[in-house]
Formats: sequence, structure tokens, C-alpha cells
Amino acid sequence: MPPTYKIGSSTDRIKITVNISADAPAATEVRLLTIPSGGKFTVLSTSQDATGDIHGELIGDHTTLKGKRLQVFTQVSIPDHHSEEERKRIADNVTAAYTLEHGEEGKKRFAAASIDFIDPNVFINFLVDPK
Amino acid sequence: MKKYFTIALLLISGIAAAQTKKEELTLKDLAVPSSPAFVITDIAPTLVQNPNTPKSFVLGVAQSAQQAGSLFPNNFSAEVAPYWWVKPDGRSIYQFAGLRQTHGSAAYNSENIWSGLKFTSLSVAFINKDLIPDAATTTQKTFSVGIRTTLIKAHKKGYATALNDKLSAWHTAALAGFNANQQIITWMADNPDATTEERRAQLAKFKDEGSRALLKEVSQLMEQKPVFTLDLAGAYAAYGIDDNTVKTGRSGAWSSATFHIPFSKADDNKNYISISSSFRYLADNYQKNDAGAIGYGDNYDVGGKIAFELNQLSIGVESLRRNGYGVTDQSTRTVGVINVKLMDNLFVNGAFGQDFAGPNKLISVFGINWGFGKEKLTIE
Repeated sequence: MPPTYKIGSSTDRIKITVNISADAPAATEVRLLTIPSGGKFTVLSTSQDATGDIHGELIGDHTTLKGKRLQVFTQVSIPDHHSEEERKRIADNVTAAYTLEHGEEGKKRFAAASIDFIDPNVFINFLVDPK
Repeated sequence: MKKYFTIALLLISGIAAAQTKKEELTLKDLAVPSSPAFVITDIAPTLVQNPNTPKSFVLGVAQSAQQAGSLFPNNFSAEVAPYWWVKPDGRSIYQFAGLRQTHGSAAYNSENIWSGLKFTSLSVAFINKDLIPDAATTTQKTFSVGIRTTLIKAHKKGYATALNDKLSAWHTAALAGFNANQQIITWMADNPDATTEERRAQLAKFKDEGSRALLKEVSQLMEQKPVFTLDLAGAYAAYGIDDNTVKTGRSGAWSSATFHIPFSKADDNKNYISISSSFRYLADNYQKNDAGAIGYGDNYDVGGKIAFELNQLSIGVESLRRNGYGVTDQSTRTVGVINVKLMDNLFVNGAFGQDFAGPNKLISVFGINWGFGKEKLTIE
């Protein structure tokens, strides 16, 4: 199961920061789902440029987030002027870090749930259940 | 293709008939070398390790030493760019491509001309070879180390804005592509305990046609040669004369300032005229001159090069004037170089002309390079 983030009694709006580190263009989307989703989701935020980063976005409070699942999905695409070996090396060096703030748990850092390289794309998935 | 092939065969047969192979010369001798530790010792290793981690580098040295049965690795050579050894946070395509934000703007419309420095590479070699040109044929345990960097790299005006705009377009298309793949992405949220195989089976269905076309355009821009580059390299080699004596053998420095003038302004242009000036310094404690004297020699080479670099054909000429002290002979080297790409992984390379002073002044080198990379060889 995904990690949790305790919002608890905090009424502040929750802030998310996404740091994607990659030598290739990246795009990121933050989604909110009720599990099981039945294919339904709400987009809360997206990256603003090809860094794939999200810089401290307020995404909702306890009324909208508690009991739901937060998903951050990133696509990194490695340009094909790199050789196959270089693309693999670039993919191996991709990292992702996530931070949630303003809940009862304060500032909490998370790592990606999965990073999959399917040439030429690297897919990064992060899940967290706000409580 | 047939035309280039025919031209290549005619050139090869014609020039090969006119010249006599007198001396080994690799094409990399003609520019700032990518692996100066190899060039300083005149070696062209058939197997160069490119360790991806410090651990694999140390393992490579240890294995080579073990095979040699001594503490000195036998014929081990490696080339590393420390950039690939670390995973710092905050890397991005903009930083990788040398783009930066201008003051007060979110766009990456400015080029960082120093961005080539981060790819500085180190080369190291341990070889057993007779590098002292005397009558004895005893080999020396030779250790050499080198460094190479691009100090300045500048593209044409407007390059940063064009690449930034193309990356923005890719980003927009990638986000739009998430809508087309929402079933896959939602499946990832619904199945946090899926196995790697299950997850990869889903992601293999990911459709990225929209952003893929723009990624190709990003590639074309990133492949464009800089209008100006300043490359530097240095190397040092020590010879183990015997088990207890180690002496400096050679040390050298290379610099090359190059202008690449594109044939057209198209993003996918791959044709250039390349004009460069070079300065090289080589100090050799065991240099042999035309008179047969062996001793210390300081060599200063100054010269220039012009080359036409077309999509499948590169042809150029380089001339260097050598001055120096010690046993150095003042002389000039003029060499022509041709590279023809016959197909994706098949190249014909040739160099011909007159080398610096020495008993074997004529240069004539031809070879077929059957590689696994997709890049065409360039005149270097």
C-alpha cells in the first residue's frame, strides 16, 4: 500500500513540491482519486515547464484530500540523438523527490513508488494517501 | 549513397596508390583529443572502459592488476566523465543543454557558454610499451593521465529561444498526452501493489505520438553544432624505467578554437564548414630528432584547419608549424583527412600528407570503421 500523510486536525491547505532531476524533458501531473477510482480523477496541478518540477503548489485541504489518494505521474522523454547506451545512462540517473507540508505531520519527504524505463520514456509514479 | 560510395572508392584507390604507408597515425591526432592519456602515450586501445560508477572503475583497475599478477595493471585504459558518476538533485534538460533563465523571466532564453565544462572527462592508462626510441626493446611500465574539456561553447543567436520554445511545445504535448493515456495512469493509482512486470506491461501501451514528434525536433536542435567552441586538454605520462625508478616521460597540452558555419538555417542542418586554429605543446624527455639524437625536446605546434562536414562526407586539411627547443626539429606538417559514411555503421577514413620531421615523413592511413554507434565520424 502507498505511504500515508497525516493531515489530522490541520485546516491549512496542503502544499506539494515535486523535484524531478533528469537530463531530459519532463512533464508532471498531480491527480486526486477516490479508490477504487472507476477511472475518475481530478487534476490538481501540473508542471509549468520541461523541468517537470512543481514548486510548492497548494492543492487542497482536509475536506478535499482526506480519505483520497494523491498521485503524481511524470513522463521523462530522452531525445533520440543520444545513443542507446547514453539513453540508458540518462534513465539510470533520473531521480524524483516529493514533499508534502501544512498537515499535522508537518513537512514530510517521500520517494517515488516506481521508476520504469521503457525506451525512450522514463515513467515515474508516486502515490500517497492523506489521512 | 552510390555517388558517395564511388567517390570514396576512387579517392581511396587513387591516393593509396600514390602514397606509401610509412607511419601509424590515428585521425584523433589531429585535434584536441577526447582521451589525452591515450594520445600522449601513442596508444590506440582496442578496449576502453567507460565505468559508470567509481566502484566499477576501481573494480576494472583491480581486475586488470590481478590478471597482470602484479600491482601494476596491464594495458588498462579507461575514460570517465564524472558528471555521470553523481546523481545530484536539480538537474534538468535546460541545465543539460546549457540554457538558463534571463533575469525576471521564466523562459530559458539565454545560453550558458560555460555549460560544456560539466562534461569534463578524465582518461587514464596503464600500459607496458617501449616508448624510449633507443636501440633497446625493453618495455616500460607507463602510467598516463589526461583531462579534456570544452571551456566555451556558443550556438548561433536565437538558439536558446528556439530550443526553449521547442521544449515548451513538447511539455504541452506531453501533458495533453496524459489525457490519451488516463486509463494506464489511473491503473497505476488503483494498483499500488502491482508487480514490476504488470506495471511495465501497462506502461508499454503508453501512447506518446504527439510528444514524440516534438521530441524529434528537440533532438535536431540539440544536435546542432555550436558556432564556436574552445576545447582544452592536458596529459602527463610517467615511465617506470625499472622496478625502482619512475621518470617523467611526456607531458602535453592541446587547445583548439573552432568556428562551425552552417550551410543553412534549417533546424535539421547537418552540413558545416569548420575552421579552427590550434596550439599544442608537447614536452618529451626521450625525443629523437632527425640526426638520431635522443634527449629532451620542447615542441610548440601552431596551425589551423579547414574542413567541410557534410551529412555523409567530411573532407579537410590541417597544417601545423612546429617550433621548439632541445632535440626538436623545426618542421611543418600538412595533412588531409577524409571520412565517408557508407551506411549507418560503416565508415571509410583516410589521412594523407606530410608529417613533422623524422625518417618517415609521409602519412597515408586508410581504414574501414564498422561501429555500432549511429554518429558519423567528423574530422578531428
